[in-house]
Amino acid sequence: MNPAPTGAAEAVPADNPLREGSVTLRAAEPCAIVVFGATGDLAHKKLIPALCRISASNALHPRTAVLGTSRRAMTADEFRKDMGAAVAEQGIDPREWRRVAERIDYIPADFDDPASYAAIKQRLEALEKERGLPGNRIFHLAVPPAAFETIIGNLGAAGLVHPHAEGSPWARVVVEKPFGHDLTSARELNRCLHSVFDERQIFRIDHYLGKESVQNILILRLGNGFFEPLWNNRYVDHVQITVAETLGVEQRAAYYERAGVSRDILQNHLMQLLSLTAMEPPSRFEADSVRDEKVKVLRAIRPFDPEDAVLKTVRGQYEAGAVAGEPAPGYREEPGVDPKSQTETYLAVRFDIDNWRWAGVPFYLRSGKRLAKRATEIEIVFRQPPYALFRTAGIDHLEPNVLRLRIQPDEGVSVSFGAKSPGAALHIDPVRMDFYYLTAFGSDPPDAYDRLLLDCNRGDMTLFARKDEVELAWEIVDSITKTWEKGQGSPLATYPAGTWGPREADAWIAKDGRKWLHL
Amino acid sequence: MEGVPSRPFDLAELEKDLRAMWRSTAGSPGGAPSVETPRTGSVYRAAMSNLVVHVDPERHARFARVLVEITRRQPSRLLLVEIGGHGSSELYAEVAALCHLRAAGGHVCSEQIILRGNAEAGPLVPSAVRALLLGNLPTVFLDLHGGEPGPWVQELADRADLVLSDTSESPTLEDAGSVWRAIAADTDHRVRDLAWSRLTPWREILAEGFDSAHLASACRNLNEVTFEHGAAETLPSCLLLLAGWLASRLGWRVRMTERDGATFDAPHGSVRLRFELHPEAAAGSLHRIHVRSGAPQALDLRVTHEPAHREAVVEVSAPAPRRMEVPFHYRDLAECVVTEMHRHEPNPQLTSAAQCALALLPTIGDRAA
Repeated sequence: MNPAPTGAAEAVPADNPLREGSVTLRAAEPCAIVVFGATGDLAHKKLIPALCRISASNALHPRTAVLGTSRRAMTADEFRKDMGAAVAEQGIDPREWRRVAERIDYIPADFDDPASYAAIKQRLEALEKERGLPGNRIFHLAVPPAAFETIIGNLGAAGLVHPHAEGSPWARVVVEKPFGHDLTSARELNRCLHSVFDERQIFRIDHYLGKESVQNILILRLGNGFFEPLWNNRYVDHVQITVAETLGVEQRAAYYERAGVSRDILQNHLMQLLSLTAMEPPSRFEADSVRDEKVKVLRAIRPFDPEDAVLKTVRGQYEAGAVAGEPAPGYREEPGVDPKSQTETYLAVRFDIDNWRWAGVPFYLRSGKRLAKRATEIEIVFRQPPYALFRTAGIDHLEPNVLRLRIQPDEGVSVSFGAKSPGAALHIDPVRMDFYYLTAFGSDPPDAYDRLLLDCNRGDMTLFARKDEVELAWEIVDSITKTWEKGQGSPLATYPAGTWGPREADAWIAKDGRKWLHL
Repeated sequence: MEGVPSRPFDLAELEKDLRAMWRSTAGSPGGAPSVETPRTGSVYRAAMSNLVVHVDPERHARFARVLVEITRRQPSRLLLVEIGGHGSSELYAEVAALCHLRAAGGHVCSEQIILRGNAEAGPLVPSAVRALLLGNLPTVFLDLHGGEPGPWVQELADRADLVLSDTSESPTLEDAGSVWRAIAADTDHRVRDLAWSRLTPWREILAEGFDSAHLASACRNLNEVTFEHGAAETLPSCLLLLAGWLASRLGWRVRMTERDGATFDAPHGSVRLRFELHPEAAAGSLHRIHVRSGAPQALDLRVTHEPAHREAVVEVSAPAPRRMEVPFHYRDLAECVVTEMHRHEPNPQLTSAAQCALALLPTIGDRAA
């Protein structure tokens, strides 16, 4: 009862005739989950609620143990009470919470102190013995990146991590983005991780990959006969990818001042969406084949030189304005932000992918804070028909056909095309065909963490970022940000909060003869 | 959402009723897929399929919640066919909407059209259903009636893209057999037995028991299989389907059937199958599967599940004793239906299991009688 890790689809053991025809995903494996930073926001808002939902769907192994740890001195009962209040706020069924609460223990720890890890080890072994667990362990680092190195080093030194070996109890580590703040720090983090863990034990979460609508990118492209033939430079004019937020920096000013949108969103979410949109079909739908193809896209992105950092980017920062009818302060007026801050809260960038499929097709990526609405979309904008047949009827301009992949909110897909308006005169109006997850499947897609935590338990790495993927994305982002840091690159434009970004971004894309699509 | 009272079936009037129903919700001209109302937020009218459900009017109440749950998971135009009892010989129809509140606000609604009448109205049903089907959407026929289908019911089934029966609801083993015969004869893989889907957790747990390399050979050398079940008027038909699955996967052929089981010829020798009553098991439920093999790889494995428990217990006495709890992914009727609606591939395992179950039927059926 200890299935080996497999790819996205469960393999059928060749020597088990009872497995023939079985397509059901296997249940989770028995394991202990150690959550570092267990009193933090991520554990409250995402991890523990996700465990409750997984339990409710009967996919959490009944012997699973959860050991929370953080600096805060509190008892296990106090911790459970705290978590109980947090999951109640999310509308989790109290019965589900009670089932999960039974499995939760807590131990305070000073992450810098090796003695704390000895105590964690002792408690963990006791839990494993008590619950009859085979020694499988997940270490989930829900802590600020600055604490990664200390915790990883101490986990190794305390002997908490089993080496990777097929058929033996496994140990896995989950790290959350950001994976470093530039290429050098990302390499340093990877070196640190590899000093204790094998790459097959490292699960880097970019939660975007756990979204159903993101996974649907590949299904849409590669599971349908009529999209893939059009998915190339012969039919596609350009691609727009937008991650728009209405929120400001909230409580994250200290981090955001150093990161900006380029490190906060471009390096991870936008690059993931770009890779999935542009990648070649993998030879198999399993973790490394998919990730190999994503890496090839990143390698094919034309490198930026200092001049490109001017010509191919627009950066901006929000000023005071109003978002959805509410007044919003400017970025420099936000608590914890330097009044002279040069941090970009908006970025538009053009990437060219130098390969056979995408030569000549620009990919325009944009992201910003305090924009007009929250929306993440990928738009494939198609070329015009080869001949303007209706020009003789006075129709000079046709709106391009657009395939929209709505990642959030209102997850789904829409296609816009021209249709004749009813009446004697010839008018062509754009119309839309829409697919909404909600109406098609009767419910909103599940939270990304539900899927990612379960995949980590099952050892399926398809939806997790790999070392080379992370480093290549940083190489690209560094080539932009390092130019800015030298005082070169596009100047910092401004935009009122609640708009779609700086006017310069509209003028910039217009120079290419294109315009941003309305979201 | 408020429906429209029952009236004699008239397609034009029915369509008017549907439009009026949506208009009353929208407060604007109908037909819009998504409309905003101050009271409820957005209302999404949705349909992924035509779902034609044949149900005994006397048992409608039992399935009402199931149908609500199915449309929550798979919004559909639901055509509920309730023929029988003391109704009119004329066909009557009424429309309503099944709406589900979204966590994020607003409702997703499925249309429901109920067709009613007594047995004489039955032959009118197929033409009414044909007129009401939404084009370009698959048609699923869900037979919750359980009995031997009459000609008009068969006509509905013949026209459907997918036919779902539930042998767990069959009054007799012979009724279950007629479903399995249909599956065995169905080259298009349109006919499914929901009992198969309901047995999935049992099949998964048993299969998982043989995943490790050192137990794989034991799987091919089983010589005793016992199904323990709760008392019922007839032997639960799911036991035959489960036995059919094991036999077809492991290459066993029925040598003889007896009142309490059967003997199979297997590649390694013979296998004895026994059905045993378990005094504490819930009526008609499968309680435990017990499999044993002898040399060269001795194995003694039991899977036990108590109704409503979310875990099953796996106990191995040989080769090495161990006991573990594993998740039991219980599937309710709605989940079984939706699972089959989403299954688009042929299911040759079900076909061969149904064929083997049919081979077990004669003598065991006698016992039940």
